[in-house]
Amino acid sequence: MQRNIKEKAGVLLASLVCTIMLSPVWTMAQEVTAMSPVPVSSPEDWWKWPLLLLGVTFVMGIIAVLGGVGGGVLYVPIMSGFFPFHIDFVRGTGLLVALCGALAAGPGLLKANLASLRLALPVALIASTMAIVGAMVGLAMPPHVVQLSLGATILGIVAIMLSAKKSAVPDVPAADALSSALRICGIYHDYATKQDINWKIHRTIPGLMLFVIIGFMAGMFGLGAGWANVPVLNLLMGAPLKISVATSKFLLSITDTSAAWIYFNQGCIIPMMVVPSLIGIMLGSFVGVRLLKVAKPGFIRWMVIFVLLFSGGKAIQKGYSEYQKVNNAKPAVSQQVAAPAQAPVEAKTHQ
Amino acid sequence: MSTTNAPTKEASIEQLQYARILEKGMYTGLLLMVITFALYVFGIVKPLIPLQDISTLWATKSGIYLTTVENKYIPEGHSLKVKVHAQQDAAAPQAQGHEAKAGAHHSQQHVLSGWAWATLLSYSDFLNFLPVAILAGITILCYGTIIPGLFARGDKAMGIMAIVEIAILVLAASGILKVGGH
Repeated sequence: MQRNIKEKAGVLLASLVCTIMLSPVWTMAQEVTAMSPVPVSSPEDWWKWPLLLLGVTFVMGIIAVLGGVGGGVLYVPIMSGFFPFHIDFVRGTGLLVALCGALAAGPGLLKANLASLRLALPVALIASTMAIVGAMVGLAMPPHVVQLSLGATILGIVAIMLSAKKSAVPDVPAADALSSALRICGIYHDYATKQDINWKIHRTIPGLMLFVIIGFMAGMFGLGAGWANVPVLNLLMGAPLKISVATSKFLLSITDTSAAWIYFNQGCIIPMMVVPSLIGIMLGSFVGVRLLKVAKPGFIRWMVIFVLLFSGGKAIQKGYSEYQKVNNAKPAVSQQVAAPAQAPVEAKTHQ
Repeated sequence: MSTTNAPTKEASIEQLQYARILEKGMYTGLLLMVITFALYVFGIVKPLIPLQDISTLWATKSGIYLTTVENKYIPEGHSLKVKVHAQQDAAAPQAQGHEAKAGAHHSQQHVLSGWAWATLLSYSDFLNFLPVAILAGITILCYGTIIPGLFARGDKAMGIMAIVEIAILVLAASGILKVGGH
């Protein structure tokens, strides 16, 4: 009886937290805050920002665990869409959020032999190289183009989440030549079925080719890439689902590292944003794991899809309005060629 | 643990080595991050950028943020400030008009990019970059530790891939790769 009440209270708490966090009214409120010229009453109130970030990312951490998505995929669209941070800093922080999640999970997954180093090495080589290219292209592109592409990508992720199937242990009749040569195979013990699962992979070359795109997008948007890693490893290359999920998580620690360095070296890291975000996401993840026992995953999954749809739409709208601003500003700039230019220090915002 | 090349239920020696280094680096980075952030946010060590100015700076593009920090906050006499002045002086003779000078300044690489933050570690905000660098750099060390084992067991392909990966990560970390502005 008492346990039942506790379980119901847990479900209620999880649902309440998610409903508040993911509701359009809440996000609209954030939007209003973001649009105000002085976002939090006065500069003297700077201390409200780390607390706000801590609170928001804490809830985000809970939802990420319950919804089965990485922190970065929620962090980037929500922070760039509804908060006054420039997308450069949001992408840099988003990569560090995804990186720290992967660093925290990686050692345990490697020790348990669920994440496969042999599978990760060739994939990481391609993905991390392309993440560097993606980061450099993303930083060189105008913010409105990044926002528009981010919105389209987020909507694409929603489509993947809605349509992708999962296969616990895909049927791989024979390993292909490349994976055989690299000896990418293994055995893991499935505690659920109490069986040792022998696994191997196929379609290695097409799979590696897809990581060219995945790595590029991870670097360009700072999203992490678990949403794309898992379907490719599992459905295309035929790795068992548990191996795919674990290797994908570990893989982010390498892919995101390379892109994070590019953002770091270009000054896109602000400690006041990064540290509260990381602590919030990590604390939220711990609570999320506890709530996982009582929360209804179907409900949470639909809420995540809903918030991603909303954030994707918001990114497109924001990108479009910035595009219009840039277009409108062009004639004005050409008329002011002879006028003295303002010092760069005076420039306030590019939002 | 597995000491042969045939797959077993246990993780390979290299995998366990990698996991151990990753774990140590992760805990060190996170612990340092909490300590340095406490020094920063509680005002125990003075920051370069006053805390109340941050909320106006993070709304700007990273290039503008760097220009502002270089011009407004880096103290006179600091080696980076000397470089900023040298850059501005070098750009000045080429400038035809006032706006051309500003444009020239924009097109230059920022003095504060790359590893320049390491010269500002006495300020609490830049001290926070140290744990970030540890967290972002630990993977390079992990790869470095597994290479001898891979070659010793005749796993040349994986060994070469690990070496190339280190080269790529070092290149990314070096700050050599420059991003063009827009």
